[in-house]
Amino acid sequence: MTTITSSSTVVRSYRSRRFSWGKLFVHLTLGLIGLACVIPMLLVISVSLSEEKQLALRGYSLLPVGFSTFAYTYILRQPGQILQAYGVTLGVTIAGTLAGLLLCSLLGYALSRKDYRFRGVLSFYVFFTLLFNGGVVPFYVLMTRYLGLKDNILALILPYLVTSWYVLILRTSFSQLPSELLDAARIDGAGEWRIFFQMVLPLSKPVLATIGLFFILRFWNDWFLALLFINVPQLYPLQYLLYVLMANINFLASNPQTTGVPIPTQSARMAMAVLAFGPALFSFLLLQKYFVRGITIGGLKG
Amino acid sequence: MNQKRLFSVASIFVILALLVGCAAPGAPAAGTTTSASEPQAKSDLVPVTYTYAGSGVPRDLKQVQDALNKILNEKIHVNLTLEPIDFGAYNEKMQLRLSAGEECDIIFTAPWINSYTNNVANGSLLELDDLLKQDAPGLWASMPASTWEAARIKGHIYGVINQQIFPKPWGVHVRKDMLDKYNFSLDGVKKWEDMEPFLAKVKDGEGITPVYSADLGNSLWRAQYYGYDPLDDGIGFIGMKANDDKLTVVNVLKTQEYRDAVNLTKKWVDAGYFSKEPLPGDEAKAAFRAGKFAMDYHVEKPGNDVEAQAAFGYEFVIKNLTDPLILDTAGATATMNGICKSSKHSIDAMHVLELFNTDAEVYNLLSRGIEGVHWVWKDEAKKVMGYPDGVTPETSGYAPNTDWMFGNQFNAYYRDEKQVGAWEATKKMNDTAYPSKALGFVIDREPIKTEIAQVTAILKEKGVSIENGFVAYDDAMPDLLTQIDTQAK
Amino acid sequence: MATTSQSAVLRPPTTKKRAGWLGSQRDFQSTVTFTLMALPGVIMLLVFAYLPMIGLVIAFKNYKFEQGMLGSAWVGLDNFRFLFGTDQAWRITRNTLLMNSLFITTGTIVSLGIALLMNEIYTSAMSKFYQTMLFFPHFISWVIVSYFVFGFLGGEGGLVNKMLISLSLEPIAWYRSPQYWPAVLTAANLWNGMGFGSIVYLAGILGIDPTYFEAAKIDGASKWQQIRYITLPLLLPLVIILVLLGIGRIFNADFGLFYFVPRNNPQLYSTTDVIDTFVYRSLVQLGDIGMAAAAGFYQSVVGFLLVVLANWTVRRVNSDYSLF
Repeated sequence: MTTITSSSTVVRSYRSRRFSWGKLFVHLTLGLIGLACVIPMLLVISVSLSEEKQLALRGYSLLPVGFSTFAYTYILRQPGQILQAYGVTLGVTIAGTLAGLLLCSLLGYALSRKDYRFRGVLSFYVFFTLLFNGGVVPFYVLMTRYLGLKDNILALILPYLVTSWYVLILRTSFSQLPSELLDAARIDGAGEWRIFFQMVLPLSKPVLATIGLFFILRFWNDWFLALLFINVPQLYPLQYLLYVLMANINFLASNPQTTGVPIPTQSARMAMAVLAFGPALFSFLLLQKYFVRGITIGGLKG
Repeated sequence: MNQKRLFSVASIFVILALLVGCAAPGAPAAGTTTSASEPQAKSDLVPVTYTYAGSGVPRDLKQVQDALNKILNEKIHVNLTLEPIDFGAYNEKMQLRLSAGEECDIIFTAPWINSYTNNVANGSLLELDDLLKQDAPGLWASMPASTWEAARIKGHIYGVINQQIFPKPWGVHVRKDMLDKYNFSLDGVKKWEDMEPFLAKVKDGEGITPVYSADLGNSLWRAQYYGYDPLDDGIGFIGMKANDDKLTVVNVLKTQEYRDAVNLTKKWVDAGYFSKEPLPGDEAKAAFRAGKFAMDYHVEKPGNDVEAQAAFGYEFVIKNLTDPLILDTAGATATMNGICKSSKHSIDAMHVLELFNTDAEVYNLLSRGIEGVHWVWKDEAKKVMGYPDGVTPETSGYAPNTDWMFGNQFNAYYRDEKQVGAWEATKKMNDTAYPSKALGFVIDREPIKTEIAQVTAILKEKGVSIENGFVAYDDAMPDLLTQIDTQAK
Repeated sequence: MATTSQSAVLRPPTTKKRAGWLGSQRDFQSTVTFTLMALPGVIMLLVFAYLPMIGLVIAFKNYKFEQGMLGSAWVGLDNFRFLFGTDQAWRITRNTLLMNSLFITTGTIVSLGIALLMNEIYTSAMSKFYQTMLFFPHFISWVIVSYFVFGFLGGEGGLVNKMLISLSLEPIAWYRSPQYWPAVLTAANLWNGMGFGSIVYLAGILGIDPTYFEAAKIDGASKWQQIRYITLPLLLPLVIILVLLGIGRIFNADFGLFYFVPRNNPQLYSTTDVIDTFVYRSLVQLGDIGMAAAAGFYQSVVGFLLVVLANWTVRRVNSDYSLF
């Protein structure tokens, strides 16, 4: 009895030690990759707190060279602007992602139903938009002249709402759902809307989470629509504000005709990046638990 | 089957179009009411909008606009709206707006941003010949007819030239502390090569690359320095000897002068006078401020030493090396304001431009802000201004810093005592510069636009490293020339 | 019990009896319902995708705004000359395809690899930490990334060149050497995207029914065999979805990556210029709407071929997942 136990402990400890070598390898690899992801971030912070002149002389380093917060005071002359831009981006991202997911999955669901009469025609209708787009100028004319969407926050949301590519992926994914389940619900007298909201959507969490992430990233990172349609600074989304501030700094710094005041270019640029990702990163850290679980829940049914 | 499917798609399309068509009238109507309701406060005033590039919307824009309108309402019955668009977006936004035929009144246009020639070619700008003579006599008289020629394209003037330095006095500005330290005087310097002994000493003594260069590198090829008129800034490779009576357009890349210039540039790169790996523009500027360069070469207009000092924090000595100065189209049209063809109030817009260019009060209000708030007199007799107590350019609520955008810069108040007299000196340079024989001659790009696009693309990609001295002319240019020749056919 | 059985007996006849006309009514009703579901999306596509397509005619016109989109003169294929007169069309197409396939392959492999590694230590406290770190790069815009890349490669003090010199190798003029840029851009893309990809894949792995693995363990399958025969096959649908999304991104590609990271440097165009950046430049730099529209039209054609090709490939792998 004793011998057996001891031998089994030997085996177990041997196995767990071998295992821990493997684990160490995993930790090392992931740690290195993680470091590669984090170091640039630290560099950004360090540069944003550096003294402009020291930067020019000594280059980037992981610790600030000649600590200074001038870049932040320079940018935060108008702190309201950044807050406002955050508000716009947040609003656009939330509204856009929810509405986009809803519209795309509604359309995708209708197209996934084999008993839907217009299925073929509408699928082609959706598919066709993948092939051609009219280009920027006609799009601009349509948006500003006919839809009156200039300087309107809807201009930042509407054009991206129904992305045919997402619709087609959702359609494919919906059509993989076990049809017996849906049929059973139908026999129990559930209407199509109820089936969609209470069965189809909950069963499709993984694909919805994935597409939702794509939507979030798309709305969060977009500056192009703002470049086209937004002129009033109150409606600037974050990324566009950054783009514009940087372009202005570059312009002021490189145009010999401007009777220049020395502006903190490098540190200011990085300080702006910090202001842009700081709060976003912070909220990500807070929400991360739900975020990863959100994708995981429901699992993936092949 | 396929046809049937297409047909049904088409019918859905039509039905939906009808649906949307019925729903649509609400939208544009809403758009027009919002735009109309704003400026119609006083019914007899004509609304005019000035769209230009700026760095963000200044905090006190509204106050400046109100102060401007106090004058404009009374003098010309105009209610002006200032619409600054960020520099970073100005080009894209204007290209789109103009191609979409959106209504606008006065817009800033130049060869280098919101392209003047493109705008004229696309039919976006209004012909100003008659308007100028009838509605802006002061502005029309402020420049000689020969200068106005520069803005003429196919017989018409489409832009109001902002008076500033017209010729390009290419030369050097050198840090005074370096000149003193290495005991060098610019008096004897007549051409680029004369700088070499100084550069060698600075390089050895300071261990820095003495000449400023940035981004893709810089070249010593400056058309006017070598006596050429570059004709059209948008077409990089053509030019004409400014004094050529026969008006022969040449491919400058094949000229001896170009060859000499890029060979010299290569020599400077190899010697370490120019950086072999230039920094991006803004970082290079920061490096200049930190003392990593000893000199730069640029348009050394009167007063440039003061501007350079403001930008880099060192005292500078400037020397123009271009002789004779050449008055050419590109220089004279460097910054302009035009009136859109879509403007409904072109006459009033011209009245506004008249004031921008002839009324010092209006001009300085627009470019410097309100007296007592954004600036104060330091010496009113000499027209020198300064900042009020506690206000710096960084904290000011209105400091666009782009005097050259708004009108006649010779009406501007001086920012520094040392600049006093610079405008007179500049005007003298303008008046005495040698007018290029090609002045007023603008290449009609329309028929050859495809070729221009192709050749420009090749040049941008492969010509840059030759021009900036990273690759020897003899090694790479013959190939490039044959490539260009086949495209240009 | 009796009532249930009775009702069970009773129910079928009623349904059957009404099936005749109620069935068709149901059919009609469901058609209406589905159409209502589809309608918002269909209208959005009509407005934002179909209406602007009218603008495609600009590619064949000498566009002047006074004459309008439809009134401008036809010029046939003239606007396309600048594309096909040189080798540009070929070059931007090759770069687009080459770079994006590099991105998709490396991205898929690396993300999957990381997800598998993470799965091994999922219970450890460090796991969340790694996930977070890997997600960081997503918060940094390409404009900022371009400055790091420059810090590494550019200038005389670039880190990589300093290393090369210390190894007594020749420093490289990165920003004048287009041949290195496919690798640089691929690395940047990986750095930016692997966190996102690996989290999605990790979620997929965690969603696999653990009984499969337990059974495999009992059968004595090695770690590698489990991955090879359980994890990867079950992840295939997710891989296909992400690859398809990757292909979808080609049409509204990562503009910033190609535009900002090489600093829009003309000397690198031979490997970094893609259709997207080309179209953008032709719009803002040429100032000729017709030529820009021609470039856009060409992009559409290439996009179309890509979609068809991708779908054909997916159909061969698993026809259930093909899009059409």
